[in-house]
Amino acid sequence: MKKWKSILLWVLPLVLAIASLGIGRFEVDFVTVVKILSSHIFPVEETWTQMEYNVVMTVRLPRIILALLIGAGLSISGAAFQGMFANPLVSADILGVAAGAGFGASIGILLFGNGYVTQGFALVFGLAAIVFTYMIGGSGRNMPIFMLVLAGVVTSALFNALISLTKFVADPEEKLPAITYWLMGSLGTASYRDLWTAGPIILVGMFILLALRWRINLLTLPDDEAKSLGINVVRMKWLVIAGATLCTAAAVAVAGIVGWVGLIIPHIARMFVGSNNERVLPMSIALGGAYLLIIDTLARSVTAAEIPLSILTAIVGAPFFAYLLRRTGGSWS
Amino acid sequence: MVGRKAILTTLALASMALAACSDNEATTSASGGEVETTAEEKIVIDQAGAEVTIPAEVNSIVSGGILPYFHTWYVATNSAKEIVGMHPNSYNAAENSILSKMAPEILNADTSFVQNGEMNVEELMKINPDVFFEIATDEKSIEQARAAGINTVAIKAIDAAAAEPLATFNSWLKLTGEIASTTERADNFIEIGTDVQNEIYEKIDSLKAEEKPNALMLYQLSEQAITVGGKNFFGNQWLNATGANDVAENDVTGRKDVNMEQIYNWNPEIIYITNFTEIQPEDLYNNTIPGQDWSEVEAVKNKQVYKIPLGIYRWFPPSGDAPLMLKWLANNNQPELFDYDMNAEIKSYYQDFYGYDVTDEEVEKILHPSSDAAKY
Repeated sequence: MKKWKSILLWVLPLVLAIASLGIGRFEVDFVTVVKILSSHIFPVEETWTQMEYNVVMTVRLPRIILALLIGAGLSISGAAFQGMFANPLVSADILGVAAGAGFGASIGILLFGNGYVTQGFALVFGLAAIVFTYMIGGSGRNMPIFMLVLAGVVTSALFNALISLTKFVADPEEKLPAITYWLMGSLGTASYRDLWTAGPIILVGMFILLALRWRINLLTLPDDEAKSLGINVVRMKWLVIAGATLCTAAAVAVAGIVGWVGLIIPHIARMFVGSNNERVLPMSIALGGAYLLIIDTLARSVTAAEIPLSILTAIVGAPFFAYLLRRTGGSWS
Repeated sequence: MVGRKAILTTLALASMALAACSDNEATTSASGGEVETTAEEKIVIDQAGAEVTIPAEVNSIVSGGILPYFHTWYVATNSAKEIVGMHPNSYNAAENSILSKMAPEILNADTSFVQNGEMNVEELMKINPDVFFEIATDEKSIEQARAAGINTVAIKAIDAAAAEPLATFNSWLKLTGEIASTTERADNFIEIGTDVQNEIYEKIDSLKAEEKPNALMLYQLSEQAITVGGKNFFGNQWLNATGANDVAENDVTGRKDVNMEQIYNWNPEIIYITNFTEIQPEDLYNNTIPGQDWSEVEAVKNKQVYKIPLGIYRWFPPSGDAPLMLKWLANNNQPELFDYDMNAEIKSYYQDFYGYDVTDEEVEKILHPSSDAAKY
């Protein structure tokens, strides 16, 4: 792949971010958007209304940044897991993090309604799910991959059943729609507080995974071979899992469960840059961020009612992915 | 802009005409009618069109998933002692309303036949009511109850009369009058309601869309979700009937979650908050909801945010206080045309209709319901 192409892919999320600042249900023309943005850097004559300012700075901006971060976080986690497990069907929630966080949020909504506590619950239960998975499958000395995957399946099944239980006992008029809606994912009420809650955690997770990106290639080798190269395989695996878990749990805590992104974006990244994880992971960040941003912009602007993210990620993403599969024949460039 | 307003006006008029039509339909078809009467039994046709055989004299009823229904029985009969069971959510509403003072015996009703929103048919059989009322959409429960030999009457909610609250309540009342053999009370209520509606309609009939305020029905509000009502929901019909434009009419069907930007886009001049949320007008005035800045919205700037009252039942869905709701909304939407003294209106309405003297303190509670009443 040519150098300019990859630069283009890196510029894409930024261009999209600025463009989507000018898109939405409330009409703010693009010149005004630029003026409002630049007024933070140098003095600009105030020609906009307070409401226009609110729309751009407090409604759209935090939401756009969150969409970029969450899309990027879920995609790089998916890419890291697909690399580590050497399995293209794996996504960010394979080890039960999303199910655990989903259960935490459901219980939070059930007991306290929406808000800060619910996000905290989602985060804590997401991390708890990983500990649970570790206790089942990973505490042995060698930690074979299949044990880990099976443990993840068990954890997911358990927490999904618990989610169903909370839905069953939830009041059908108020709490149940809130839980159901939450499980489909939305950034409808994203605020700076959400950004400060989830942003740093996602960034830390992404940093860990980026730092490990070339070693993930080695994890696909048989354990003995990897060891002979001087890699502490078990510690390595746990670092990857930790990074991906931070990204996923924080994303689920503020946006609910956003499906499909973590599964599909790494594949698209590989179609661009090949299967070397050293390049797949950064590319997943750029593509994932851009993809979720486009989806979220559609979710908030197509109709007056907010459209849940998971619906759009699949409806928009599936045909696109099908097209790419047909064109490339599924080969990793 | 002019063209758009003309379209809006036409739409508003058309929807009123439609509402009027469905009104007539509702009273003739949806509410059904008495078919046959013997000494011990009679047959009524429920709102799903089924023939239901019930005892000629009904002494016990249970109200299920059709949450507001229980108080229809009281409105139709002025008696609550027949209500031996009701949905837990209905019970909570009754507990928090003035009905529990007017007819304390309503609090004896059994709620155990519904657990976590699901009907348990054996518990219902233990209560064994003469008639069981269930929402028409819950076909499973209706079938189950009928199979268990319980006379079950299906009641329609949103689709009984095209989401028109007064007509919906009238249809419930008419059917209940037939079942309880108290048609006089029902007819009386329907007459009062229709009179009030016509009285208001006469004054707002000639108003153009631009002479009406833009209003929003805020169904639920929390930090994580802004839920509004639009077309084909009670709020839309309430606003159309009382001289306001529903800002969500063309964008939202039923109730949907929207974002803050959409609220800015609508920029309503009046906001009504239902009793299905704990939010009060002060929460918007003081801008206390994190991540949402309401202070720039027209209605908040001009202190035109109202909590919908709660009398014998919540006023937002169809209720026995529907004539009062119409007057209250007309007062707020068109203060230059209407000047009902709500205190006096409420007192005389309850006195005429239930023979109950409402105190000033109770009026205050009806008009400014506490957030507790939002809990189920």
